[in-house]
Amino acid sequence: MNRGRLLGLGLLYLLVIGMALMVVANRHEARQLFAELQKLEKENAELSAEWSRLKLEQSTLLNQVLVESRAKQELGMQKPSADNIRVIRE
Amino acid sequence: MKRKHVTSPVFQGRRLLLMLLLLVVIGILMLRAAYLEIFQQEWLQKKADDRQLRVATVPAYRGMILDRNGDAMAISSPVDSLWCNPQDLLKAREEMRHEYELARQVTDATAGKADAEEREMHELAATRFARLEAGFRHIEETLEMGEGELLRRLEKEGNKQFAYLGRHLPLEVAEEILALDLPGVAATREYRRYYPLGETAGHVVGMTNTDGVGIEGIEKARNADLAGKDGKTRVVRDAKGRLVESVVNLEEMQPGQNIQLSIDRRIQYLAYKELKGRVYELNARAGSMVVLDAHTGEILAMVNVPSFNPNNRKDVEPYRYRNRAVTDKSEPGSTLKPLTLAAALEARVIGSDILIDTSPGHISFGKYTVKDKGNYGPISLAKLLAKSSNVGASRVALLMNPRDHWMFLSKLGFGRVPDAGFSGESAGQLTGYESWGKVDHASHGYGYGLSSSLLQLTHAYAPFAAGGKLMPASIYKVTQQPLAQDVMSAETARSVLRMMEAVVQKGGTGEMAMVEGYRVAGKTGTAYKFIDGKYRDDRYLTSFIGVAPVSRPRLVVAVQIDEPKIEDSGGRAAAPVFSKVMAEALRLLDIPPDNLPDTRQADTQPPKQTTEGAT
Repeated sequence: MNRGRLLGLGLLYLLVIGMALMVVANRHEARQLFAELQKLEKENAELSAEWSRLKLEQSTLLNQVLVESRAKQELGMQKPSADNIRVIRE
Repeated sequence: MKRKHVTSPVFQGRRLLLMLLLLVVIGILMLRAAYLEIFQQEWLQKKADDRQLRVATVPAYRGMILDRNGDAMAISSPVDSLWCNPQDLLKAREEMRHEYELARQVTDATAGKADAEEREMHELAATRFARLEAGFRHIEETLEMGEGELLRRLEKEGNKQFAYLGRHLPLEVAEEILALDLPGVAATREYRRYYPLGETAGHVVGMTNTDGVGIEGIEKARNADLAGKDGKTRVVRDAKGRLVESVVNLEEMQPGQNIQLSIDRRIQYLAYKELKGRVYELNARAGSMVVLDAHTGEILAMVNVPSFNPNNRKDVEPYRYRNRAVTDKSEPGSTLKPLTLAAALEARVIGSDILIDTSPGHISFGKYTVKDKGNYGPISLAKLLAKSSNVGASRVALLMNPRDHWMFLSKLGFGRVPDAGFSGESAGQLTGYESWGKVDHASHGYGYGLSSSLLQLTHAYAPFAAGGKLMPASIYKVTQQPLAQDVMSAETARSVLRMMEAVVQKGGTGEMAMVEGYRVAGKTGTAYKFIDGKYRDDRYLTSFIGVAPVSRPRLVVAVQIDEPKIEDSGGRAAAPVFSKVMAEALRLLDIPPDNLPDTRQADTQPPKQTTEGAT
């Protein structure tokens, strides 16, 4: 009885120590994860800055006046005149 | 075994005293510790938290503004705002410069033979200083400041605790400075707004101020939806201000919503380009243009000249901000005549094949006289529009009961705020018919005595293109069709459209509005300005409003040019712009041509109306 109690107490003691260590480890891991999160958030910000830059570039390149003049000059295309249009109705 | 108790006669008292003293000291320390832990715990914890814990704001991403096809018209991009404590920074810089100069002297003096470690240290200091200087230069370049200006500004604010090194810097530029790990320098994440369309869509999209709050256009009208809600989180910071841990999320960040407009940026761009060119060509004061899809009420393009570039807030004078097509009201002039005819047809006081006698070319109401350019004699309604006869329009107006006429104009939205989604929309002016005299009634027939914004006028033409139905105007993309209002019969709409087609034909006032491949109907207008109690014949608004394609009408395009300096009567100033923009808009929207050379003959026979889906 006395020995059993002592054993139980010892176990509890070990448990407490173990838990304490786990708290520390957990806390450490949380901070590490947070650091990673911050890194990723920064990366996200950089990527979205890049994305909006590309989006802006795309919209300047997509400007139809630019597209039209390039189509005319570089590809030798032309707008169809009314004579060249046939309307097909289904 | 019994130990013999030996007592040292000499040291006994001294030992006791020493132990007692030690015990007392330990006791004091323990008491103190207990006191702090038990009684002062709360206060101390608070102090510690004050140093480590901060409530950090998580800025919400501002939603995008998209055009009807999902292309961006306003994008937020993350930027850093660098701020510093000028005192600390200047001191640090001075130290670095000192080391830098020392390093130069050392390398000069001891060429080669100095202690390697020491030299390395000096070199490090030298490069750090060089990097700081380079970073400053970079900021100055990005913010378009002169060389050395940033430093002078810092020195001026040297006694303050806070100063911005630069707001809204690209991430790389801020990183350059932050990497130096200087005391008292930190960055705040913010968002900067970019507008790919620049001045083309300045009035519609609007802009935000430096703090990201919408102050014009849609940015202002829908600020709450776009802005979202900033989040708050409690974080632990270390001594250098870096975040160590996020303790608790106080408020969840809610990103702003995207808002989709009814604008088609391709048409918008083209409309702006053409209008701007024309306004400069005519040396006019201003110009506006609206492109409306009559079937849905969506505004496909809305441009004004002069405009402003929302990307660059520096050079903006207030008059450039005004979205004239929505906020400015003016008397519509002759462009109102088709509506007079429609009102009369609806009131059944005339038939569509009636002849109106306009001789002798003028008509008098007491001291007022309404004049035409010549005596046209008896003319058909189509000719009335083609010649833009004021006498004819007055006669037709006077045939109506004023109440019916007023009701018709009111139903079309005159005197009412269009509620299309802009801020500051003008309601125009339409006085009650009870107060109309004969002159007033007649003048309402040819477009004077009432006023409207260009948007209202364009909207009022929509029923001609939508079989007599009026859809509410909207700047937002319409996903669920709202209820249409029946304002005239489909028959009236069609016959007035036919009459307006005569305007856009060889010899008509709107000849220059013709579009190759399409049948176009429209009306020119010249509205003299009423200044200081009289109409000025040297200052006027010239406009053109048209509908196309006539066989299956879809678009309404309105152009208005304010005070062209080059003498130009009727719609000749505005019609060419109309023609170019209408042609491109029809092509971009894939609307099949209805006036091709080989179908022209087919038009004389009853058109083969088969299925709805074309091409």
